[in-house]
Amino acid sequence: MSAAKFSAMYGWELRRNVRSTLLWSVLLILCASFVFGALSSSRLHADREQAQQRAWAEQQDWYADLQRRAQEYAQPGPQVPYWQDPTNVAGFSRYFLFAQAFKPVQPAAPLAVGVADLAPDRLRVRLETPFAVTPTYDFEHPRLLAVGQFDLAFAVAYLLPVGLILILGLGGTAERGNGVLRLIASQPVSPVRWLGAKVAALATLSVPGVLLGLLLALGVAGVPFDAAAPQIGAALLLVTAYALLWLALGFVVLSHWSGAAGAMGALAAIWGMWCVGLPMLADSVTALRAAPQSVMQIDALRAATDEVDGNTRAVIETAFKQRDDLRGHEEKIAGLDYSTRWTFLAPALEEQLQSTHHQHQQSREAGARWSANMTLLVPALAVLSDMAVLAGTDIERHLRYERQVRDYQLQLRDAIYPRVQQEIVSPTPQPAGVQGRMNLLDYDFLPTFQMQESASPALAVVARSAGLHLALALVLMGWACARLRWPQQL
Amino acid sequence: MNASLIRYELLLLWRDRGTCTALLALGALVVLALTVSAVQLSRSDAARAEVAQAERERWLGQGEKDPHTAAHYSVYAFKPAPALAALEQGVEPFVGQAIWLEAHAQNDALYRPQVDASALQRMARIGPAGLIIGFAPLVAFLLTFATLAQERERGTLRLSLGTAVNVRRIVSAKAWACWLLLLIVLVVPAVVLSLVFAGVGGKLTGDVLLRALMWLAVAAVYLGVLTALGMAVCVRSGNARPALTVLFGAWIVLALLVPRWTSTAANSIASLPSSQSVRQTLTEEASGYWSAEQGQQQLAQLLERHGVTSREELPVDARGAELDLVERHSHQVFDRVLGGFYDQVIAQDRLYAQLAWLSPAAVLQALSPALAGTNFQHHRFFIDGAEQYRRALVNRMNEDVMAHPLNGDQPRHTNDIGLWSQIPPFEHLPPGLGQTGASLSAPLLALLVWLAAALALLVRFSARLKP
Repeated sequence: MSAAKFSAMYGWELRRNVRSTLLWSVLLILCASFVFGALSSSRLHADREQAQQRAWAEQQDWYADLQRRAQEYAQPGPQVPYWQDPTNVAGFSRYFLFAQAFKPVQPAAPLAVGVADLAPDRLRVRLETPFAVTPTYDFEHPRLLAVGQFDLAFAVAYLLPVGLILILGLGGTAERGNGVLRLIASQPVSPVRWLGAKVAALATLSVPGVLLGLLLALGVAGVPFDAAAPQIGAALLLVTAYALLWLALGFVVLSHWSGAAGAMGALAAIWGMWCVGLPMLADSVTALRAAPQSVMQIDALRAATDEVDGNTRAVIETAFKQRDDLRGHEEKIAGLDYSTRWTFLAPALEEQLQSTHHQHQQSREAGARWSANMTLLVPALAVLSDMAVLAGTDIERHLRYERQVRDYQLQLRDAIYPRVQQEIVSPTPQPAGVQGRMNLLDYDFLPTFQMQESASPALAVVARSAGLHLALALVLMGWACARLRWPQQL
Repeated sequence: MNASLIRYELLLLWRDRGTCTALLALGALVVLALTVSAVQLSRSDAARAEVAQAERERWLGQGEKDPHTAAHYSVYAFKPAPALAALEQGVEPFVGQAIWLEAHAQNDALYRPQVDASALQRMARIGPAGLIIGFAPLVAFLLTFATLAQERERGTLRLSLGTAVNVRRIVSAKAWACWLLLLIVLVVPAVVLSLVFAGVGGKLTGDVLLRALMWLAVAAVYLGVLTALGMAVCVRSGNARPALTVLFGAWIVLALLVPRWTSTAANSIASLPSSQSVRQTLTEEASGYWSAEQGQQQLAQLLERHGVTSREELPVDARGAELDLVERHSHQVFDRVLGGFYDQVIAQDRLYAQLAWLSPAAVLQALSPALAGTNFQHHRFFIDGAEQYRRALVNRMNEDVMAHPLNGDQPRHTNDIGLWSQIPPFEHLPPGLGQTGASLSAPLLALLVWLAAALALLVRFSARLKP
């Protein structure tokens, strides 16, 4: 009797699986989950984009109103207090500046919600805010955050393996369950070829099915395939590697010839360890370490503000002495308005808060690094993180955005503060009898914010995880093949 | 119910290494999550108490100044962690823990514990209740599978049933054994530990004890539903494979898919207005700064109210009265706009509780934070309490300015610690179960319906069981 060829067994398994109701049901449920996940994240991003557009329109209306008021205040009448006067550069700097920084939504955003539901993508930039970024946020229902987002990344990272466990656990152990395995083992067929053909046939149908589901979900969610082609390609590679890793794990578990309950139990245990146990343990390591408490920033801010307020005169005097243009004008300090004083106090306040800010930033970056390191041990985390990077909703992009917002604040200060401070030594002459101060007549000099994106190609983002998952899949398959024998007892 | 039969079934389950390892592993994770959560909460509570104390000292020690300037300086209100937050985090990681109570503005609660969370922290943020809700079904189904379907496959079930006087008693003993094991390993230690942590933190009150006991009862019912469902499926299935397929599928659908799906669906159906539009409305209707033209209108309104024709004739301080006028107008706007917004948030929770009928896990997702005092309805008490405190503080400061008319060019009226100390320290009083209990009725009913349905299925299928 000649040994059965791999191709023949593979073809037979393939034909059998094509008729499998279980396989198509699981793929259909996965596909529906992908579509629902992509749609829900797409909806969140669309809401955010609309909010950005409305905020931009609000800013345009604001400046149009300022121009209207500036024209009114150019008419004769009683003097308007400086804090109600948009033509007063000092008043403008604190009470009328409307500058915003938007984090644009990326074309592949429906891939993952990432930090988009927690971190703001729209920041109002004020000159006196220490380090530009306040802990403000766009309200998302906290229950939704607590239960967890049903986005595409969740469906891929958590539900895809569960679907594969079901397919492998039931489809891969059918012969064991109905007693046919004893007959097969008595034939001149290698167990590696037989089990390999089974898993390969399952992979042949399930992996393309999953990838088609992913593409369908992205299409339904309105992702522009041309603009997001690199991200979509990278996502397909990532999902393929992840699915193959789970199929390889399934091969290892099935190679122990246990029944459906044993195989599914073992795979579910691995799923539980990777998706829940290991992340919890890894997080506990950092959670139990004493990290800076965020509310301590309030204490630091209040104490530093008191300190600066209590030494206003000294702080401004020091600034005057350090500046060639202001030195010798110290007698004018007492008459400075609140806004002008703040042009000196804001940098002094930041100096006071530097160490707290630095500590806080370090803690956030350390958390992001630890999470990145743990992607090596937790494949689901790697998938979640990489899909967020491809979607542009990852924490690193958000930190980059915050750094750029800070740079933007400094640009605004550079544009406005010299004008305010120039008024101390060489005030602009005020037209006689008009209501406004008229030392600021247009706002076109204000810089606008444009976020600079990282130049990393999409494939490079997923290369590490996809490569690692594929390598691990190969190692697992190789190891299982090397020790695979027909069971002694059936 | 036969105690010796249940003890015997417990012993058999205990000897099933694979199933018991899964149960104990989940139990260990629950205890770990609870401990980590309790340590973190105790640290953040300590930090909040420290900053709140410093805030109070700063408020009292701010020196002599214009009372309205003091109202701008104001204080922060801090929210202590709810007593059972270690057991059920609920929305706590995602809501602000501090509010700046300044004049003119009802600020958002800021400093959300999860705001800077990495992907790992988001993934690992599954508290003890989350573990029980999400993974107890899997373990419960494994236990019921081990006690019935596997026994049927081995042939030992036939032997047991064949010698039994009453088949239902065998099934009932197996169900009781599974339920007791789940309860003893997963729920009881979690509740006891959380009460211990609440006691250590000085938060153990009668209300907390009642909440914990109710949480225990609800979790016990949940485990009962799972056990009955698992047993019913195993009794109904002719062999192990279909039972396994149905149970595994049930876990995926009931515990993984439906809770998130219903939560997301509730958010889509009853979507909330964006923060941007809410803030824009507040800015348009109750801005803290007003234009010169608006200032003139406000002065005219004041003059009319007091029946005088000039600022100098006003019996109160014009600036103080104008500030008070604007402040009280803003209260109406905040109540309408922000209050309406928060009403919508709570209404969405109610919708979620209605959709949660689809799965017992989703029902528990709605019930658990409501009982632990960690849902948005409870957080609203903090928001409203802080806002009432802010209004009292700002109104008192403005009244003091008004009571000292200086409608000429004199320097502004000032006051000192004598006035500041009239404002008591802020204290958040969490609502009792009676104040929020009405929202529990729908999900409680849903859970009981699930229990009744699961038991009915079990009884019906058990009647057909033959050796």
